[in-house]
Amino acid sequence: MKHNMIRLENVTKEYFKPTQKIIAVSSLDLLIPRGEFLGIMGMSGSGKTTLINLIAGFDKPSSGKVVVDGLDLSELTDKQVSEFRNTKIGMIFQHFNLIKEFTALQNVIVPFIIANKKYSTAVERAIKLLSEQGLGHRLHHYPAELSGGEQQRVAIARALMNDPEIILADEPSGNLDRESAENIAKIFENIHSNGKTLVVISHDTKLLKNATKIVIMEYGNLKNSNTNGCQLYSVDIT
Amino acid sequence: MVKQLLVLTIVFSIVLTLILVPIRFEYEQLAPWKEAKYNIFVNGPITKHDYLNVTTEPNIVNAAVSSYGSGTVYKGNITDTYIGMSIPVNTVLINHEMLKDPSKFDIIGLNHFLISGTLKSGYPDPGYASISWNIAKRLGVDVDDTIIYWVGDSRYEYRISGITNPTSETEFVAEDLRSFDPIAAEENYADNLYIISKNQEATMEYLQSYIFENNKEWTPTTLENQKIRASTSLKEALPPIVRFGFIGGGMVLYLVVLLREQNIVIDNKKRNFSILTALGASKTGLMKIYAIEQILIMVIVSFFAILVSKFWMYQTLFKLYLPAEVIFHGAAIGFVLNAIAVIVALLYTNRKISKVQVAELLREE
Repeated sequence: MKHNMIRLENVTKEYFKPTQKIIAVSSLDLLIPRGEFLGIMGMSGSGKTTLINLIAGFDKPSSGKVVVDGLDLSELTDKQVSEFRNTKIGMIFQHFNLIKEFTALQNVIVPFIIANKKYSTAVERAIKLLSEQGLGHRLHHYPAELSGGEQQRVAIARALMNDPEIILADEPSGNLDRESAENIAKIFENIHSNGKTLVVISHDTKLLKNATKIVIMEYGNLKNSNTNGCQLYSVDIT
Repeated sequence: MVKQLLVLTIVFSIVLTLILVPIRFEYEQLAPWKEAKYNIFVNGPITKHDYLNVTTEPNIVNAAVSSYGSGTVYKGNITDTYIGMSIPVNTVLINHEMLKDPSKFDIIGLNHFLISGTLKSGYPDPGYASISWNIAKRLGVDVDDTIIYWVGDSRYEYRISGITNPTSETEFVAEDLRSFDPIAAEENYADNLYIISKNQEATMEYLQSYIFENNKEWTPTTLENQKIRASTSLKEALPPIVRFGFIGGGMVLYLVVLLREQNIVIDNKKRNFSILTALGASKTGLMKIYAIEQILIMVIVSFFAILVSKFWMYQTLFKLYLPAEVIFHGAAIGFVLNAIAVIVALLYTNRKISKVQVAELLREE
C-alpha cells in the first residue's frame, strides 16, 4: 500500500473582499499517494490554484488540515514552511516565473543557494539538469533570449534542482505551443517514472495523458466526490 | 540601482547642506566668544599713545590691538585674475616674538585675515604677509605668491611669507595677548583693543574715565556682553524656527524621497521576491538581503552626499565668509541622519514586503 504523500482533511479556504466572502475551497478532503501523478481540471474559479497554494504552503486553510509528507503545514513556522517549500516542493508556473536578471544556469541554481548548499555542486547539478532538458547550449542565456518552451524547461530544471518529492505545476503548458506542450508532457512522464509525486493543473488533456488520476474541481470541491471524501474522481481521457 | 543612487545622493546632499550650513553658521558666531580669553573689548580708533596709557592700568594683565577693513582682493600677480568679491582684510599688529613661533598664529580669528610680517625674517615687514590657509585656498595662492588688496583707495601689496593653520573662527578675537608695538608702519591707529584684566570692573571704570577725559569714541564691552550680543544676533539672523525648518524640512524631504525610491524598488522587485519565496526563501531571509543592499546604498549615498554637500557648503560658506572645515562633523552627522532615515525606510519596507501576495503575483504575467 502506498504511503499518502499529501492529505487534505476537510479543508476550507475563504477570502474576504470588501463586500463579499469568497469560498475558494470548501470542505475538501483529498488523499494523494506517494508517486501519484494527479491531474486537476476544472473551470476558472473552481479553486484549483488555491488547492495548489494550500499544498505549497502559500496559503493557510481557514479550517481543516493540510498534511504533506507527514508535516501539518499549519503547525509550521514561516521559516519551516520556507524550508519545506525549498526541499520538498518544486513549483512550475504558467508564466515560468524566471528571474529575468539571471541566466538560465543562475535561475536553476537559486533553490540550491537558498538551501545553503555548495556553489560548485550547484553549478554541476544545474548543468546536468539543463542538459537533460536539452538546454546545454543555453546555459548563459537570459530568459528574454529563450523561447516559451525553453523557459518552461528551465523552470522545470529549477523545480528539480533540490530533488523534491513533490512537483506542483499550475497550467504549465498554458503559454506554450503544441510542440512545446508535448515536450513538457514527456518530461512530466519522465519525472513521474522517477517516483516523484506530481500535481498538475491543466486544461490540456494531452499534458495529463500519463496522469494516474484526474480530478475535476467545481465550486471549491471535487466534482462528484463521494461522502467518504478520500475517493478520487477519475476521468477517462482516452 | 544607479538611478536610485543618483536621486538619493542629490537629495541627501541638498538635505545635508540645509542642515549643516546653519550648524556651521551657529558655531562660527558663538565659538570665538566661548573660546576667547580676554574679558574686555574696546572698539574704536586706538592710537599708540592710547595703547601705552591704557596698558599701564594696574589691573590689565595683557592686551593686544588690531585693525581691519574691507577691500577688493586680487588673486595675485601670477594670473592677476580678479575674483570679484570683498572679504574682510585685517592687519593685526604683532611683534617679532610672535612671528618667530608660527604656532602663535593659531590665535583665534587671525587666520581669516592678512597678518603683516614675515615668517622668514622673524620681523614685521610691510612687504610680506602671512595669510590664513582659508584665504590662501580661496585665492588659490601659495607661499612666495604676491597678493594685492585695497582698503578704500589704498593699495597694499604683499608677498606671502607663510600660510597659517586653519581654524574655524571668523571674528578677530585675539587669544594670545602680549605687549607689542601696536602701530605698524602703514597704520596710524588700530580699531580694536583686547584686554585681559584681573579686575574687570575696575578696568571698565578706568576705561570709562579715560574715554571721558580724552574724548574718545570708544565702545568698551565685557566678554559676557559680547556673548549675549552674539547670541542675540544669531537668533535674529537664524531664528530657531528657521533652523528647525531647515533640519526638519530637510529630513522630511529626504524621507519622502527615500520612501518613494523604496516603493519603486520594491515594486520592481516584488515579482523576484515572490519567485524566491516560492523557491523556499523566507521573508526574513529576503529582508536581510534587502537590508544589506540598502545599507550598502546608504554608505555609498552618504559618502558621495558628504562630498557633494561639502562642495555646496564650501560655495555657500564662501559667500558668508566662513571656512568650510566641516568634513568630520559633517560626515558624522551625515552618516547618522542617513542611518536614521534608512532604518525608518527599512521598517516601512519590511511591512510592505510582508504584505506581498506571493501566490497572486506568481500567477500574473
